[in-house]
Amino acid sequence: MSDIKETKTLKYPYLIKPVEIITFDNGHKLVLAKKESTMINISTWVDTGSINENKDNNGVSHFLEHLMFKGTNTFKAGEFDRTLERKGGIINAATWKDYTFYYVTIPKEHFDIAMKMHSDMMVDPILPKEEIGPEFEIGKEEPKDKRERCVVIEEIRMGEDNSWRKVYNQLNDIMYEKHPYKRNVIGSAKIISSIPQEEIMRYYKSFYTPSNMTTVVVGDFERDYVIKKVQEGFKFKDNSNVDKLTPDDKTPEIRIKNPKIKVDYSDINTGYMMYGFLADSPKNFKETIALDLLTTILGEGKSSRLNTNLIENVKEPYIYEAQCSHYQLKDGDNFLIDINFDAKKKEEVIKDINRELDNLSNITQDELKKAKKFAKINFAQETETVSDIGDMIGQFMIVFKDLSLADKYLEILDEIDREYLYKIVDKYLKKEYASISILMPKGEAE
Amino acid sequence: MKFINSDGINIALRNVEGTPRIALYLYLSSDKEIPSIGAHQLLGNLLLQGTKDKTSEQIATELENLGIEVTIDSRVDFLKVSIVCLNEDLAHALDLVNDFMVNSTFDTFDKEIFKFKGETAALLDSPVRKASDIFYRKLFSEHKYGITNTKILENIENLKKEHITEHYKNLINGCKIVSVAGDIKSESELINMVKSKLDFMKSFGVIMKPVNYMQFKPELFKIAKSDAKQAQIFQGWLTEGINSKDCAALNVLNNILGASGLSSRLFSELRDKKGLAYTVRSTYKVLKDASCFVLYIGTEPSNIKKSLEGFKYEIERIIKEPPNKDEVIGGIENHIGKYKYFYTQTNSQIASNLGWCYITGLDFDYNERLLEDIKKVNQDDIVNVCKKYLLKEPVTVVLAPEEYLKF
Repeated sequence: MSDIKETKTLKYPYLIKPVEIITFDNGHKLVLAKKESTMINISTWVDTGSINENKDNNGVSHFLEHLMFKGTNTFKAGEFDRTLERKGGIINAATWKDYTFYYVTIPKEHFDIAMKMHSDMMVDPILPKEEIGPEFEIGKEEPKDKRERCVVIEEIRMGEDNSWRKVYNQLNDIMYEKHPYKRNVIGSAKIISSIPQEEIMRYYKSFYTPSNMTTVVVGDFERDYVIKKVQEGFKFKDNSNVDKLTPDDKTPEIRIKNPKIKVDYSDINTGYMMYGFLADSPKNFKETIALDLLTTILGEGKSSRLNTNLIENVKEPYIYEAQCSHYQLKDGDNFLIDINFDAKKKEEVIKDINRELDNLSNITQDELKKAKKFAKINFAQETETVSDIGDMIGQFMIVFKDLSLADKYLEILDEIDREYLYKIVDKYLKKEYASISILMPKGEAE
Repeated sequence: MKFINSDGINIALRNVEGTPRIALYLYLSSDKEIPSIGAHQLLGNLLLQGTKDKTSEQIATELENLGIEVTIDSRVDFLKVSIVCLNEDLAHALDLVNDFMVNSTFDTFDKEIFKFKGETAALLDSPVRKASDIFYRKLFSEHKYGITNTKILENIENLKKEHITEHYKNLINGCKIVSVAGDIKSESELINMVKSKLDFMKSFGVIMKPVNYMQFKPELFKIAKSDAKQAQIFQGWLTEGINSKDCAALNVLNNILGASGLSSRLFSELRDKKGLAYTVRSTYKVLKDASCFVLYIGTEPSNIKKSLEGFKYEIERIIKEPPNKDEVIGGIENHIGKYKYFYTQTNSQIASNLGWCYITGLDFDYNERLLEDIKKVNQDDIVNVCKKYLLKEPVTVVLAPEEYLKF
């Protein structure tokens, strides 16, 4: 059992009681956030995702996430899901570029069993070969025993039928030169069909270390009791002798070196376009908040510039949907513009978006005020449920590496003025800096 | 929870102390027939598109300057307007809502038609949404619940602005309720605010009680999509619904068969053991006048036959190998947990649920009573509803590349 090395409390926006961060002597962290609720949320955030993959094991983080549910030395495959869902639990996991997280949200009276099974799953997965299924060569042979490999391959297929997913994956490929962010989180069917169990376990042992894990508990609980249960449950194995994997070169790319336009075709009715820009790491906190504000001004909500100028104020709009999003990633943010449009108007759409990007050099005081209000409301919204709070804390712990920034967000937000936004536009959002990924109906092929 | 009728306005309130954002929902319904297919959906789109004094841009800007979230949702049985804002902005929010609900001109009708065509074309780019649209259209082929986007699109040229105006008047002269959840410091102040700012919410007539519409024509319908990587399969039946004594057992059956997350029978058998899919599930969809039980799988096209056989096998297995006591209790507990998670956590969930109960013709404690009924469900109940509904010939829709549809 690991001892407590350090405890820290800090204020968290819209929560009445302070949040506590406990670091155990093995490096494992526990964050406790109190909130009145009949439900309790337990999540463990692992500081690894596709960022730690290479071209030969791309997709292993996500595949492992599936396999973590396939049993431990204590609980057989399926027992975790069955036991907790039969107690009204919502359980799942997700893999992203920077992190992988596992969660249980369950009526609070079932905390004990939920923590016991969750911690066991995190520290003692056995990744049984019979659950993974045999290795095979995709396109050449069909395995008789279709198991989790085939499930993940189905998930890959599902993504290939999703136009936004396709255009996003293509965009990542043309935004980055070398960084692992270039690759899809889910990987390829070729790799998933053939990666051996031993390689997956090696990945687990390399990255699922105590110091890479942060467990978050949100709800109405008794502090000391939760700490005791975490200490009892998270009995990490010593994997220090493992030949650990080395990730690919992760030199941050904070500006697209060779902006490109890439067009692909599919059996669809309308066109899909994504503009992508790179920016600095979110540790540069004021910049990342400024990008949040620019996201709102340009493309969030009905009064955003893209919606107003390109859809609502056009008599016969050829753009059906236009919005912005801002992804905060450890090695540098992404600022994206998504456009769904009449495929016959591709060139006009590019001109329209470029014009809107040029016009970001002129932002009104009202627009800035609205964007700040949006940011505050978003924060309030993210504290409504135990799961939302857990998600937000996990992301701050992994991506920002500093939970105290959550409380500073609102303070720094108030400092930002239009001049600062212009600097950020100039630094990151000039139209020349963008790569553009486009998906068109087959009939529109040039 | 408190229900008040004050000067003709129905108001349902629930006080949730210490919450920064309040949720207020307006539900409007009419027992008059919708004047033309699509009028209901288009009305929902047009309500934020301009009033006598304001353009859509001005409305959106005023709302969003205060971070007020307004969503209009045209469900077949009602129109739902949801307003979520910081507590201190509620009065301002209601002024803005009153303006667009009372003074909308619908002058951008032609543009909305144009937009609707484009948006629907985009929607149908998604194989799963295309298959789902056609499936519900087939399942409810003779009922208003079958008015899906593709059906509206086919009839869109017949739709006139007068239809929108007429439908709007029908809703304003129909049955309504305001439901609120949040940190309500003074109940009387809130009621007075609703009365003074939402006078149009006076309710007329009575809500018709739910009926059980059960007619459907079994059919296998195939849709070709050339480069689809997965086949999309929907299979379903109409069932007795909302007020039926079978509702509780159907809910538990749904959890056991395919809705409990990662441990249902369909998930365990077709996904975990056979590797056929990433997504496989069942859904028990409860609408006011009809309910349906639906199975769905997205799978590699060569697996279509195996998947359909898998559906059939799992339905028959409910009868041959009825769920044991643990499975039944699990199905019940799963429902209770999901209810807490999806219906009781946020003010928005609570207000939405209160208004829905009223406008659907149910008592406000409908969900609590249903939970009590669900707790009493046993093995026999589950087997009986399975026999009663799921052994009939279903409506099945399969979308896949043409070469996989020769079965």
